Amino acid sequence: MATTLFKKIVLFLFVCTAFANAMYAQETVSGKVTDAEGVPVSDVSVQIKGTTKLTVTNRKGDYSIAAPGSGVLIFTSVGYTAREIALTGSKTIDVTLLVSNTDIDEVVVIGYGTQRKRDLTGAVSSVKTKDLVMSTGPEIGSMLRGKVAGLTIRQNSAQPGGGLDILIRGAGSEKASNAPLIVVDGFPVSDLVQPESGGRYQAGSQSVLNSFNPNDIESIEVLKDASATSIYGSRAANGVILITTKRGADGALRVQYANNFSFQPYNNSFDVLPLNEWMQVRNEAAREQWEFDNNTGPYGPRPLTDAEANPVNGPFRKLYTQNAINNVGKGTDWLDLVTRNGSTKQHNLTVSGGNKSTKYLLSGNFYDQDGIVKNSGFKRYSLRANIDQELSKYVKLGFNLTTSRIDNDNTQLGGAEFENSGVIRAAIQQGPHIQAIDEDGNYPLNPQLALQPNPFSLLTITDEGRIERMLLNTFVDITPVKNLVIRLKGGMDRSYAKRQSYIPTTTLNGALEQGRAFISNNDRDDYLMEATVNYNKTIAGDHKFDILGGVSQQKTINRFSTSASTGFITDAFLWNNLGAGSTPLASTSSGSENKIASYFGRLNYNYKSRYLFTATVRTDGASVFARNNKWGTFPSAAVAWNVAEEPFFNGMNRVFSQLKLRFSYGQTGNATINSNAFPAYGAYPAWLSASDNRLIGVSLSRLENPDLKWETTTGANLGLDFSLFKGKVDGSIEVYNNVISDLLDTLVLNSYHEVREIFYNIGKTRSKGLEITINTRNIQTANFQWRTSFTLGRYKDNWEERSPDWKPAVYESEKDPIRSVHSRVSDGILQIGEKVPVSQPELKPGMIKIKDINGFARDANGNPAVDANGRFQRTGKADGIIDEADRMLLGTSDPSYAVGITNILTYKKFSLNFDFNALFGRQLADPNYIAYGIGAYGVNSNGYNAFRSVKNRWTPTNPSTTQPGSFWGFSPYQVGDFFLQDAWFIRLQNVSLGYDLPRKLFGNVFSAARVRVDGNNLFLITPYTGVDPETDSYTAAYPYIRTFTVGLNLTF
Amino acid sequence: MSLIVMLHGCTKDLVPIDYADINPSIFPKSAADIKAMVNAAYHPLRGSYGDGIHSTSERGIMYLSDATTEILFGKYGDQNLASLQNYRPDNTGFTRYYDDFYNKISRMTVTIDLITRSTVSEALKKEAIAEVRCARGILAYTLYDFYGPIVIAPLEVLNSPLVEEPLARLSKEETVAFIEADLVAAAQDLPAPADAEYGRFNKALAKMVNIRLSLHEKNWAKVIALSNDIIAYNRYSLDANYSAMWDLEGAKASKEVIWAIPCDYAGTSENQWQLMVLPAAFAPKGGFGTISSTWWFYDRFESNDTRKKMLITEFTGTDNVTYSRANPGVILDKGPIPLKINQDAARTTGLTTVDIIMYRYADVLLSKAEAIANSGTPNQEAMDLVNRVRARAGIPDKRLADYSSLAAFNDLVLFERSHEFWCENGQYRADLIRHGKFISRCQEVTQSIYTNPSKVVFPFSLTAVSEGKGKFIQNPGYN
Repeated sequence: MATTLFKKIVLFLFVCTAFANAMYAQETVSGKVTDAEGVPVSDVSVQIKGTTKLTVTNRKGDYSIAAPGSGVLIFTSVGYTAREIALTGSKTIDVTLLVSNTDIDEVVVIGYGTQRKRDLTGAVSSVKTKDLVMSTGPEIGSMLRGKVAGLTIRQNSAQPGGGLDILIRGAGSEKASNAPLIVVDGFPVSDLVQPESGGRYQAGSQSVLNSFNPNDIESIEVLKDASATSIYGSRAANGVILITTKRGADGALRVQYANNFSFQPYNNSFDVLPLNEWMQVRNEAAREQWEFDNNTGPYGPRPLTDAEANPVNGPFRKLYTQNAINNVGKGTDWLDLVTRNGSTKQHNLTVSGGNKSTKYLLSGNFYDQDGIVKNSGFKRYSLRANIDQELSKYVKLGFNLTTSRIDNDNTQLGGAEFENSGVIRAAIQQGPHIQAIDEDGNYPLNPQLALQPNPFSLLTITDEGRIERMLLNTFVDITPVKNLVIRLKGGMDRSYAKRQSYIPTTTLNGALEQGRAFISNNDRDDYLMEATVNYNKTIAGDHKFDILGGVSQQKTINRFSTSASTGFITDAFLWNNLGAGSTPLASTSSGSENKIASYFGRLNYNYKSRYLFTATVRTDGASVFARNNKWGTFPSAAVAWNVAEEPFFNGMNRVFSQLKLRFSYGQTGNATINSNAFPAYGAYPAWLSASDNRLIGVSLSRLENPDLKWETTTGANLGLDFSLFKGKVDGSIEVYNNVISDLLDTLVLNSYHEVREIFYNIGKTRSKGLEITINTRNIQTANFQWRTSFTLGRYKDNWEERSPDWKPAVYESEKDPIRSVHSRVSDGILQIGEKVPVSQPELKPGMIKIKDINGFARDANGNPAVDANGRFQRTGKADGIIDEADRMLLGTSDPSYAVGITNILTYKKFSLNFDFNALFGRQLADPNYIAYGIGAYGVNSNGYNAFRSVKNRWTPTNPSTTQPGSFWGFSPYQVGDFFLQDAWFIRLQNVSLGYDLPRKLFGNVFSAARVRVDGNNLFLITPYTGVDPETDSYTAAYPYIRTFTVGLNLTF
Repeated sequence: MSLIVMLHGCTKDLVPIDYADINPSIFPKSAADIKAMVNAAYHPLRGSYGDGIHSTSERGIMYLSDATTEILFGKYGDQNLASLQNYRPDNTGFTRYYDDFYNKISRMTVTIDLITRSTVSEALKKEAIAEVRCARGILAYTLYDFYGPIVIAPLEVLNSPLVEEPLARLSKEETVAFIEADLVAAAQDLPAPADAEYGRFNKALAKMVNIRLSLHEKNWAKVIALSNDIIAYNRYSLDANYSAMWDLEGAKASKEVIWAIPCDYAGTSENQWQLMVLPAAFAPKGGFGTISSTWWFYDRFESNDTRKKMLITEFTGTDNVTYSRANPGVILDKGPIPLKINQDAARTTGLTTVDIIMYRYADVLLSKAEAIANSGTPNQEAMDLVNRVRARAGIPDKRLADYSSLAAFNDLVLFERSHEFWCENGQYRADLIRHGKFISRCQEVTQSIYTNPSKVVFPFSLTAVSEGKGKFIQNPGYN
């Protein structure tokens, strides 16, 4: 019965509706508007084209509008690309709006404010995190590679959370830091790293941005020229990176969950000799050594028969028989023992929502990476909360809290040698003839190098670093009258970093000391107080003024301490019972307090977006500044002319929506010398008493320079912003010229002085460069979008003026590149029978020849002579001697161009994002090859292992012209540039393929679900033959490996 | 506006605080401050790989000096350059002693001035200045011995560090006078040997170093007078057991040691000799095996000489191989292991607690013998002094009749010195140079093709030359 009744009602309603439709020739169209992630978009206006009929979507993204049978619906919303959809009679039209990318109207964050991109007068680049592949690491820095022209990011260690060298527009400072200022939500943050372990092993490097969860970040703005940066005054000379985090938005509760799993299959970067081949090589190397020691064979004039009759070090004996070699197998694979496949798990949960007066966002992140070298790991727990509350029309409150904890599992890295070798280096060089661990659980050593640890035993070391950070930011916005906003801001960056390590008795060094436990702590408080006033006013309709004034004070308090013990009865205590160590080691501690106070202001003037003017000034007073220069002022000004807004340009409007010329000029400062110029005496243990107690000595450690001041960068920037064909192509071109004067350097005093240097402002450098950014929207249809971004940056840093009493090495000249490469020039490998160059009488076959290209000017005694300035002179002529005068300038170690290309494609529910990152014009000598790949000297004399490539070394029967012989390192003439190779590279940095699961698969549980497959560092195009041209900065550097990631994003 | 005022109020005092530094306005004031400055004068004379000139590594005076003689031979590195006397101005291992340490002379000059001007008691000032002058004398002598005359900056120049002032090296006479004045003044005010704390300077030490200076200058009369002074303290005698002086607490217990540098496992002052000389395979604890002695040296000891027992000629390694002269491997091929000090098998790091003995009474006796002979002809008094040292070594007396020529006697003393003082303070190099045998001995022992008469002093670095702006002249022969 009930069923029947129901059917009747439905039928009735249907008839009614049909009747109504027929009557008005209209029907109600309804649907849902969502964004690309399937999240409802509210406040979208839905209009019937050609009419005034209009509605807006509600908070669930739903709309409904009475529409004629045919016509077009227009969906528009700020920040999204408008869509027009033809009515086809369907009553449900669901629409996906894509975020607008043609945004010269986009708002970008600048120092102490925001600005429309269209009205920028300075060089500012903006990156939205939604365009980044976010799965590739724990921090945002490495994801920015190649994304911003003029921002050079080089990974200096491929370990989990490894460090980055971040440079904006090169590095013009010699002694002061070249790192940009990083500002997170208005708070200038300082680098925070785990303290040193006090032991013999290094733990690599850590990225400055590790504390900040990339998923929390909305955008990154890079401020490059003086106009943009001088609002940060004495800390701005190296550019500024502004990190803006996500905030809640007006709308329904939104819960997003993302999960990634990454996998790094270890690919055996180091091709070392297995035991059988090693024995073969060692046999040959022993013979080479015998001939070398006996001055016979290719290495000397002594006849072989003579040498055999009366040998130095006894007659030659083969170490291994062929039979032994044939039957021995592969031996110990040390690298296999200390490496593994890496993996990463990441969970990210974001909850956000709000209404007109209250907006909130909460997020949590867990990141857990196991590196490819055992014991290297990185775990981060982070939590973030922000609330924006409108109290009344006049008062608004805001609150940001970011807390994070990073647990670093440290393995022993670093390029140190011998007894200090880290785990990778030790594993490369440990001979395959040695057992990893014996029957008794001992770790055998190389008998020829009994002080070198067994690499496998190094895995028993426990070394943990922890970095905890709480960044708290609060603000009150008061709007007493229209257009006037007073913001009071208070913040604290509270951090605590510690390091705990224990070197157990299972390791060689631990056994010697009966265990060594070490604890260090670094406690830092950074307080910020700030007040700004912002007023904007439009006069006579078209003259817009925007005025900002502010004061700020930041205070940093640092405390550091260490304690350690050795001599433990058991390894079980780790560092938890220092008192039980029989030998407590001396504790150390230090502490410092510094302050910086500032006044700043900015005026923007805008006439119809056609003529723009900005003036900025900041005055900083800092405690680290010297007595006579406590305060520094940094002004800048910029003008811009948007030609496209000119009436006379109207005809071109179809092509140009923007054509803006900008010029800025101004000054910024740099005072980061990590010290000060105040006089001080240092105290240190100087002598032992009769009973071996430490006696403390005190002596002058630093001289005062009361006039010391910051470095000043005076920069000019000429820029062109353009947007063509309705935003299909847009971009910027910048050229700049920065002169860095009053360089913070150490003035070298006469070396007979007790303190031999003093911080001083000396010399000038010049940094010139070019940046090109081009974004294109290649294809833009409803189903298929393809965008490409191209960035190119170039900088050239040269000396402009040196210290007046500069005493260069003979090969240096006044205007060399800052990071110049001077080298002797190699001339191939000396072959048997070839005439030994006159300048190199001690050269033996298989060694590298050096070109005699120049010589010292000499005095009557034949000694190199100096001129009245203490400078050595060269004659310009070969002089039959190879010495420092034969070095020549090869260039700079800076890359010539940094290029990035990003492609973002979406096709229906698929998306593909891939980007290339490239550095051109650089050379590198492969440190691993030099240490282990060339000769077999170490294989014989130390029982070291070597790379398979040693088999190609020069020998009398293999007269190689590219790889010298085993004794190449014994040449007293050095090797010159022989091993330098081109190290430009193009890396496919990221590929990310995503797919939005059709909603019918998961019904109403989720509003959107997306799966992703990402690849990182998939391939590399480079002529460089080492492990990686980017991360090979020292021997046995942490190898940079491919990463594959699968990810799932869910929105509830 | 009130905000700005408020902010300004708390930023008036923009002074950084580094709690680890000492502010000069509060230093030096007290007796403790003065003592700390005196300790700082000892600091460069420590054994320390980084910055102690008496390091027992290749970065120390003894190691490098003895490596230029038949006592030590190095197969690679700076020690090899030393053994072949193949050092050049770009070998920082040889130029660094000047570059790294000569400004410590300036520190001591300034320290003496600060002490003089301080308000502590005169007695304390006198004591403190004597110690600093002794340190300055030792350091200046050491550098003079290595390089010849050096730059010694006067106080007026040191008081204006920002004024660039290239200085020339002093003349030989000026350098010697400077060193001697310090040592004489120090001997005047330092405590007597009986009153001095172990490890600190005393009158006898100042005189002993002055003996070395006088030997260097062949001022035999001064050598005799100074030796007699030290003998007259009646404090020192030859220890019966030679090797016991290098036991763990040997130097401290010795009646013979005039000055030793206290060392300990935890450093401050470091002795790392075992690490340097023991081969990796040595049991129970090995080292780097960076250097060995020579068979030439070993073969010239008399058969019963107890002093050669510390030259290890045979051992069974951790690899179960017995290394010996007949089966040297790469360990004993050039010579025995010169383990002059106790093995200290309990050492847990590269460092040992055995102290570095710098000067001993035996040196007084042999110096006096040489001075007597050279101021006239060899006589019985001189021979008796030599025989006292020989007797302790367990070898028979020499007869004056067999060494009546000065040349023969000098040769005898030279051999005696090498056998007595090997691997102690490196002064044997100076002994060879004084007797004109430095170059020829090198050629004989190592067949070096690199040595020549200019190698009796080490070269200065190019930076030292450059800084002198033409006033600073390199030692001859280093081009």
